[in-house]
Order: sequence, then C-alpha cells, then structure tokens
Amino acid sequence: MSKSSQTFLWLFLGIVIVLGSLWQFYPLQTAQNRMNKIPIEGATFSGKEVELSPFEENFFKDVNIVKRIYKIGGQYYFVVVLDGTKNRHPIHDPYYCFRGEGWTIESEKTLPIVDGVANLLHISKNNEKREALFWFSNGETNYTSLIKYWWQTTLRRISLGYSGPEPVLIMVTPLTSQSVNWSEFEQNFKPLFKI
Amino acid sequence: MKIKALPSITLAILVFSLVNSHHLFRSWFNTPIENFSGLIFFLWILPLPVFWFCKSKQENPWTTANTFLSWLYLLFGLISIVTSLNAIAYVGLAFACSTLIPWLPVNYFWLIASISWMPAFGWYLTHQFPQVPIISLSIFRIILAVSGSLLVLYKLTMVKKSYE
Repeated sequence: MSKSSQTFLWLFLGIVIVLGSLWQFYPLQTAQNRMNKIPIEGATFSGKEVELSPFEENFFKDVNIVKRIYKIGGQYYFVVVLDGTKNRHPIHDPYYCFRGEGWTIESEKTLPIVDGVANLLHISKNNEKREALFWFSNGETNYTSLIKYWWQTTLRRISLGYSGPEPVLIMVTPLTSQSVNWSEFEQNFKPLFKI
Repeated sequence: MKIKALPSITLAILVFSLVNSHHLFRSWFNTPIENFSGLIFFLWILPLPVFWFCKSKQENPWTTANTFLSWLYLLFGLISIVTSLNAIAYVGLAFACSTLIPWLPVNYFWLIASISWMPAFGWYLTHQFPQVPIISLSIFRIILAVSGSLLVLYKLTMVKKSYE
C-alpha cells in the first residue's frame, strides 16, 4: 500500500467518523406524540401499563415503548408498540422474536385492517397455541413488510426526517390460547389501528 | 513477494469496523437465534489468526493490506452510519477482515460465507423456514462458515508451499 493511499485512507476515515457522528446525533422527530394518543381507557376497553423487565430496559435502550395489558370483550391482550427513532436496531420482525423464544410458526396469513393489512400468526410451543397480530404503521398506512419498514426508516435517516414520519411496530397477543375474533377486536379498539 | 509491515491505517480501519459492529457482538448474548453466531464468527475468521501465526514464523511472509478493500470498507462504514443499517456495517466488517489476508480468488467465496454469522441471514432463514428448528439452521450456518474458512486455509497453504 503506497504512502499516498494510506494518507487518503486516513483522511477518508476521519471524514467517515466526523460525518457519521454528526448524522447519528441529529435529532429526528420521534413517534412519541402518536403513541401518546393510544388511550388506556375507553368505552370498550381498559388497560394498564406493564413495567419493562431489566433485560428489556437494556435491550430496548432509547426505544419509545408502550407496553400494556388490555381487557377487551372479556379477553386479555398484551399490546406492545415500539418506536425505534433513536435506536432502530432492536426493532425486529416478530417472527425472529417468537422463533427465538422457542415458538414454532404454525401458519401466517394477511388480515385486512383499517388503512392496510396486518399479519396474523398462529404459533405453538409445548402444546400451547397462541395467535399474534402485528403490523407497522407510519401514521398513514398499516403494512406488514419488514423490508418496507427498513426502507422507510432508512430513507428517513438519509433525508434527516424529511421523507415522512417514523413507522412504529405494533404487536398484539392474547394472554390465553382462545381464538380471537380480530374484526371485533378492531371494532372495540380503533385507536390502536390509527397510530 | 517482499516483506511489508501491516500499515497502521489497516489496523485503524479494522478497529473502527469492530466498534461500528458492536451490535453484532451484543446480539450473540441477547438474541436466542444468534446464540451460535459467536462460534460461527470465530470459525469464519479462523484464517486470520492462522495466517498471522504462520506469517510470524516465516522469514518471507506475503504482503497483505488490500487497498481496494480498505476503500470499500470505508464506503460501507459511512453508508451504514448514515442509514443506521447494521447489515451494511457487518458486510463492511467482512471486507475489513479480508484486508488482513492475501487476496486470492477463493476469498470471494469466503466473503460470501460471511453471511453465515450475520443476523440478517438468521432472520432470513427463520422467515423462510419457519418450522425448521433453530439448531438445524445454526448447523447449516456453521457448515457454511467452516466451508469458507477451510477453502481459504487450503488455498493459503498451497500458495505458501509454492513460495517455499
């Protein structure tokens, strides 16, 4: 490697570090305001906040989180909303999380919801069966593609937030193995589908 | 080939690439699907310590530090920071590692095999094969990493013999 190559590489490394630092610390607008609009109580639902575990506190550092248990139509649901504006890395495809926790994905289907679609998973572990519904929302549309999430969030970081609002991940899992009427769930908990 | 010391910029780029990939090392402990990825990374990177161990014992070791790959790493490093995409940082890390051994055509396969330790590949496999046990997917990733490493080590040995 020639001396001039080394000099240029040092120069470019310096540029990468300075430019990278400036870019990384630019404050993008978060989705916190949209998430704050998710009510805890409503005519057809009531919820309560659930504290994060020490592991979650560490894993979801800098991520805005809504983690609640809601009672809707006599059934309990675990609702998690994640905004990764300040740290997008912990936001995964829920597939990845469920598989990691030892669940097997039995089936998957797309479910039409207001302003888009959601993904309905049927999962099982040790004879225990569950359903899980998840989707991404950018405030205008609801969608299920992780690639689209990556693309929108990447574009947002490149354009310093000018490309649009930050998408959030919304995940709903019933606490029991009872089958869920998801259209009834949507009717009873409309604000969750308009984040 | 003449003896050449490894330029300090190459080491600086490697250190920077490791720092820029810190999420990868955390994922080995935080993400159950990536529990084997530390081992897979170690198996993949094996040609580096083996090469440098042998090189230190040789009187006429080969030159290293590929300038083109160093530039490629810096480009990927910058893009990964601006876009906040770890997957790009990890591809860059693979380039940065590959600057430390002599470039051979077989290194292309070794670089491709680097996907074995990348979390994006773990995600892809779990998504494409939802009913295949994680352990089976991990074994496949291990085989891929070992294949890449062995091929590079074999070729390095052949080239080394030709200089003796």
